[in-house]
Amino acid sequence: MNQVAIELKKVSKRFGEVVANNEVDLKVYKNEILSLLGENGSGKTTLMNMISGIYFPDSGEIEIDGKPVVIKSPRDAHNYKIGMIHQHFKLVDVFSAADNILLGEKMSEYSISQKAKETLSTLPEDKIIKSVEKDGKTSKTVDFKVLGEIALTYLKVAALPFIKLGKLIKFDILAKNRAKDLQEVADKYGFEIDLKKKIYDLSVSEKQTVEIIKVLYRGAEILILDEPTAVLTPQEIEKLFAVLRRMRDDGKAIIIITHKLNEVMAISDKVAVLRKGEHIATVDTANTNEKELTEMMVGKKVELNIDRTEPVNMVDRLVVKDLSIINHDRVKVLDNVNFVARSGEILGIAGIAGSGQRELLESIAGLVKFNSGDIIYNDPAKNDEPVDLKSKTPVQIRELGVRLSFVPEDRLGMGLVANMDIVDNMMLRSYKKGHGVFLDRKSPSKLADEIVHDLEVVTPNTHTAVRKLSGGNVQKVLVGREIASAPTVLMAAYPVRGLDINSSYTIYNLLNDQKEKGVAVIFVGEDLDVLIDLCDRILVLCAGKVTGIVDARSITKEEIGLLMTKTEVSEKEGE
Amino acid sequence: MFASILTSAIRFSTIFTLGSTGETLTEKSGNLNLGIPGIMCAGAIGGIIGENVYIQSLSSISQMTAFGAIVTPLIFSMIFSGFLGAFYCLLTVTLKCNQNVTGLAITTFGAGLLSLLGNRIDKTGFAQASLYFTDGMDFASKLGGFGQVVFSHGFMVYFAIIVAIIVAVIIKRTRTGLSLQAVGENPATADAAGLSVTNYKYAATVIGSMIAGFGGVFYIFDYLGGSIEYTIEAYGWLAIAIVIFSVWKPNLGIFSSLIFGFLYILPYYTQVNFAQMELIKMVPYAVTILVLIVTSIMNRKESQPPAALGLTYFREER
Repeated sequence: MNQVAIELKKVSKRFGEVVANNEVDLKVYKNEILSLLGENGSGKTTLMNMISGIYFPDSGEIEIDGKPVVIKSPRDAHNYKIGMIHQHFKLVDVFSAADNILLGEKMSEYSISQKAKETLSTLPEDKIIKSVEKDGKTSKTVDFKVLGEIALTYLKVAALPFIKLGKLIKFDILAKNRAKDLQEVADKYGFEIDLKKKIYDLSVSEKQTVEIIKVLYRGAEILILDEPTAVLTPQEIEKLFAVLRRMRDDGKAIIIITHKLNEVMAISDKVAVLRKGEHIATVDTANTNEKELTEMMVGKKVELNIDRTEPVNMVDRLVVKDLSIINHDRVKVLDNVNFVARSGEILGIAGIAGSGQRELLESIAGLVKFNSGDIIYNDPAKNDEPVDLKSKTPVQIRELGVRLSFVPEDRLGMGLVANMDIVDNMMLRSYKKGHGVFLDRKSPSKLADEIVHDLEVVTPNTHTAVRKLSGGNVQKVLVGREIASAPTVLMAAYPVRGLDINSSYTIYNLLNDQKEKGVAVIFVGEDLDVLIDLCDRILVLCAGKVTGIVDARSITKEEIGLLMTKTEVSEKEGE
Repeated sequence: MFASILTSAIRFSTIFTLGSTGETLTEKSGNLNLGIPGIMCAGAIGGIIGENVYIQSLSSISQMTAFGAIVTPLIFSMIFSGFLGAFYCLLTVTLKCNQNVTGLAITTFGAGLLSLLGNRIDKTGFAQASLYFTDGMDFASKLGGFGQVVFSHGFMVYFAIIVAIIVAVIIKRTRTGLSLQAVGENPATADAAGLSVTNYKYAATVIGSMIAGFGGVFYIFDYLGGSIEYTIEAYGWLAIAIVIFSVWKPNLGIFSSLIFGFLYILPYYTQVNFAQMELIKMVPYAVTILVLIVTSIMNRKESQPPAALGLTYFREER
């Protein structure tokens, strides 16, 4: 049996009225990867934040290696060799990767009193004054050798504070070749990364690598990864898993938070399931299956299949021709993009984060000026008469029925105002509809109630600031509002990012409903399994270029993965 | 003619060097301390009170020593400006108040304190005490024009330059500096790395305030020779502009301060009419705006302000 690395006993945490964790018991063993599974708002991240010292538990005990500990701050967590890799990386953008790894490193202990004791124990035992017999007479003389030794010993003790100061200063000064030394460590572990690069020049998976090296460099024995695969390509995920397995075999305890059941099955030895802040069960991965886990997670049976209907009455709704965008940094973010979005079908867009998905959707919504190309919208209200969107303002485009529900990385950046309540956020789309100068508050209020009810948004009431809701609930509010406006084109970017299975399926069903209503749905997603199951066609973007528009019914995940990294592959082949 | 302008520009720039170095140190920790003009005023009044206390303690002015006349006002100034810096931190870091509002309040308070107490304090012996501040190095006159420009100043001019260089080296080359920058760039990251965000903010702000406070002492005892003027607040605002101008680098701050100092005193050495003089006085501010435009067009990550500048950090925020 493996040793217990960390054990939680009846740990609870509440935020105001919301109970995030209620008497959770959890055991993590060394040489083991534990998956922490649960829906949104089930308290996974809160629980892990308590281990890593971000939050302090309201009640309960934490034991490490069998001894009860108090983790008050991230610094304490360090001392107990706990390292957490957060969902949003904790890296300083303007520092090099090496500096980020070094940040917060402590000098090795140098105790003056202990050193003094050691030095004093070497004091000579001979007496300073010794008797010398000479010519039969005994005379007393001072033994200068012993005196010198004693004096030297005390001098050494007196010098200790200065030695410590000197060591402190020496440690404080950053070595010029610090990146090189760290690089050797990284190479030894088999990480492919240039540590001299600045963080803002790194890709998402490279940033994650930096985080992992950082945690390893600090000597962490307990590793926590919060949704590490959310932003990685299938190939990158495989690499990460290989690293995690190597660390597990190295004797480390690893906790990984993820929503993706196939990953849970692939990587973990045990699975702990949380539901609504409570620990439901911990099971061996080998003795369970995806269905059983899902049931434990949501507490009721869920149909895991997405019903994909055959598209009907397809009309070319949106035609994008030769679209190119050059951004402020003079980088071509979109390069000759051509595609057609048809009514009654879902067009998926796949690609590594930052491949131009955002710019593509924003240019259709009129938020970004494009340098060349055309976007033609065939207006169903006027018998599919083509309209050029280039000359329209965002408001005009909205009125045509083109709706963008963009879920940016921080969820609240675009679309919702964090400090406003749900009703006010609904009004962001309808504030022009009031009577004269006065606002119409009734219909948004009704809409808010509907969304809270239909999409099962967990909130005390509709007058709660959006900022206080959990991530998944925020997204439900955002997508719900956009769908409520009965669009003809619905663009949803990462609408299920960070959502649990139950809420994700609510969103997929919403999108499917829209498709059946004859809406042209454009879905930017990151989970390839979902893209393949949900969409009718998938457009793959890679570094601003369309590397393929494929039929979702007949493509595999690996093929899409290759298309997503096409240019990189061809470049490597060219070398 | 040019040499004499340069000499006084170097001398005058000291107040900017001290002010901007202090403010840079503070801003590197993510505290946008708009209280720096007030803190410089507080440093000045601290110096005045300190000198007054020292002179009162002597039985006659002739007993004055260089050590006492210099050290007492400097210590008092450190207490005054350090206290205001700590107060700023108490409000913005511990109590999480808005940084801008707090800073402006402290500026108003500091400037008010200077005009309230400045004239009421007995300044007998100040002129003599200030001689200790203004004394240049003996060999300056032997080196001709060059010596005059570079070595004829009081010790605080060199002190300011050395402090700016030390601060620059600490920020760029030490772990302490790296941690400080991490606190200013991304406090959550620094926190997760086990650094105490609160301690770094307090230390940087208090030390930065003390450095800036020395600017006030310099102005009163060196530049004005022991008399008093209420323009320190204006120099404080310029010091904040210099922080931006020198893209948060204290070593560049020395030269930026020199340029600002030069432009500031230039009108007094030129035979121009009132309108032209006012126009020349505007140049430093116009240059600051220009630098802001240029740095934002260049969009280099390194020449941007600390990313978390002006934001309060609360660990459990969700």
